[in-house]
Amino acid sequence: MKPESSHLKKKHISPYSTVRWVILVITLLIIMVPLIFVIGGSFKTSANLYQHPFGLSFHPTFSNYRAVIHDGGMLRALFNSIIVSVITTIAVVVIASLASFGVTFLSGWRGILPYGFLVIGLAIPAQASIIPQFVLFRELHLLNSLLGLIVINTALLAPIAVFILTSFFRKFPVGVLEASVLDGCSTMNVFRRVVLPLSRAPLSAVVILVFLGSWNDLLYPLLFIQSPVNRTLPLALIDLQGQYVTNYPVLFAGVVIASIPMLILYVVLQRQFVAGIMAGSSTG
Amino acid sequence: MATIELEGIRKRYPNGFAAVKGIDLAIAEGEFMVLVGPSGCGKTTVLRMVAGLETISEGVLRIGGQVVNNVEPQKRDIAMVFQNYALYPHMTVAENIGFSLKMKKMPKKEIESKVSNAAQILGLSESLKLKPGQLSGGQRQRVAMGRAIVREPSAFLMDEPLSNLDAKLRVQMRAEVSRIQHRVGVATVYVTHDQVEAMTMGDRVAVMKDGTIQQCEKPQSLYDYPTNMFVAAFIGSPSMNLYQAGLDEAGEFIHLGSQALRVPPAVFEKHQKLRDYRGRDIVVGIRPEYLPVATERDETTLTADVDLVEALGSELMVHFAIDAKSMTAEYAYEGEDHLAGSGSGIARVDARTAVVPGKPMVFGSDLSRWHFFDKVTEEAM
Repeated sequence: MKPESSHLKKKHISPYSTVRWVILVITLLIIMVPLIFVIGGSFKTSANLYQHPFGLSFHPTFSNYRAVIHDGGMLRALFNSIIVSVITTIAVVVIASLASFGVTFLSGWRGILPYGFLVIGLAIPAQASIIPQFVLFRELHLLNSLLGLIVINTALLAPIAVFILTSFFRKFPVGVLEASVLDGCSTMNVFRRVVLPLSRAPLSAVVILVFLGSWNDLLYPLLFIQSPVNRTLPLALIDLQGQYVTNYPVLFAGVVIASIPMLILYVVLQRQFVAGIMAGSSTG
Repeated sequence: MATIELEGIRKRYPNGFAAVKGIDLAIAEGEFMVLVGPSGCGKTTVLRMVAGLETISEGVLRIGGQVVNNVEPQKRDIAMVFQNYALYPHMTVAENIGFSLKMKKMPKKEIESKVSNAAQILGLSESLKLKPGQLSGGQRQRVAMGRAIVREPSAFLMDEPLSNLDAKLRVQMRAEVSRIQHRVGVATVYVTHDQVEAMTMGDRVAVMKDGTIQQCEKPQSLYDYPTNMFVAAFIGSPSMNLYQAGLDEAGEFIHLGSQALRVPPAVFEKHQKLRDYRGRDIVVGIRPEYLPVATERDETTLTADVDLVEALGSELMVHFAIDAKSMTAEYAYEGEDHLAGSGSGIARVDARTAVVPGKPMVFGSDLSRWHFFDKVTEEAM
């Protein structure tokens, strides 16, 4: 190509890139506007919020946060949510990684059958089985307890985790596994010492997904939990909405507080998404 | 240290495909056995069965005199070097080499000394703290070797360990692997498709095709006395020229296309069976180096049209054509048979020879150096 034409090309803005930019900007606005609105609103008084919904507040107030923190129920809910989400995430990671390892590397029907069940499980919407679940949990005395939430969340989120991990394990270099077997690893050691350390990227994806799913779950706490002591954050946030009047700045402060643990999780795990984690194993 | 014995080993896959069709092989203590053959001949399957990574459909496998057909790979006390090295990317070089010892629950101090010993042999002492991703291809290959030797296993298995290295490094590592193997003195099965590797490294070489061993000999015997056309064509580079020829009724002349060459009586003494082929078609095999340049035409020379000359510095490869039908043992090896046109052949002559492409050239032919094969069975006479 001649230098002149390439120079010309640089100045030229193609319709394709224009469309791309427009879509990007719209997406950005869709995400950012509510975010700024909520974060900004959490530092305003009610009056201020109604007067200047989008305006910057030059006198930020922390009273909303104080109100949320001093509301004992809210802290209790935060604690409950952390318990449920952390234990659910650990349970899912342990169960799903072992299950995926088995499903991927067991030969014949022993691998296919359980995988088939899990995939069918994914296809059934949770709402379809809510009533039997409710009855079952009542019989098991798991209603109105955090354990019940942990059990149901684990059961609902494990199949997705198996799905993600299995697709990763299927691409795992078989030679590395065989080498570890010849090096004297038992099946459990192959899993623990070779497969798990090399699966940090998909595992952190699973951790984020499961934690988020469990953290944001409203449906099951709403169904299963009656006592205020066992409320989780989404329930507590709902309670901040009054029937007739809602103190929006306080609700916003609650929302901001509720999203902090997720933010921390993202930041911590982001480092694990390093590309090329498998680099150097083979000749590639 | 141990022997490895294979008795009637077969591998049949569930879909009915028979990858290995009955193999008998005994590898002595400290012996370097090379399995060589074109891709798909079953050589890697044999190796994987010895390792225990593949089940044995039929036959008996003994390591150190013990039947190990159903023994798990971990318990066979063998080390394997994989074609793509299969290093653990999350471990350092030292951890990679010492991993098997750690699995054996060896004390840390001992592991360290063994690893540093192995690293010294392999020239990896400087890179012990690096991860495989930071190493060059040659270094990775050596880590894979280190992982095998540090265990002091009763047998080594190597699956084309040099095939991913560049040509120069491959030659260097070839010698190094041989040296290490002799030093460690452990029975070794080495799989390759490269006949040069097979010839240079093996104490013995087993040539495989279609799941069977065609011939298992010392490299030189394999080269000098191939039992069939396949081995004859596979071993040697450039490969043997094979032509369809006719032996006349009297057994005096061999007709190679339109040319007739006198058969000296010595040839019949060497190849007794050749007498039975009087008046029949046979296949003759001529190694490229046994076609010396001759000055005059007579009853013992072969005249050919020169197509192309490749100067290698030390010698010339003369590609020529005669009007005889060239035969190819049915195998695909780096597309060589694809290139072989009708009547084409190669002669290896002295670098100072004057050769002009497009002109006829006269080669001397010492028929006692030729190989003779049955045209139908492809067996040597």
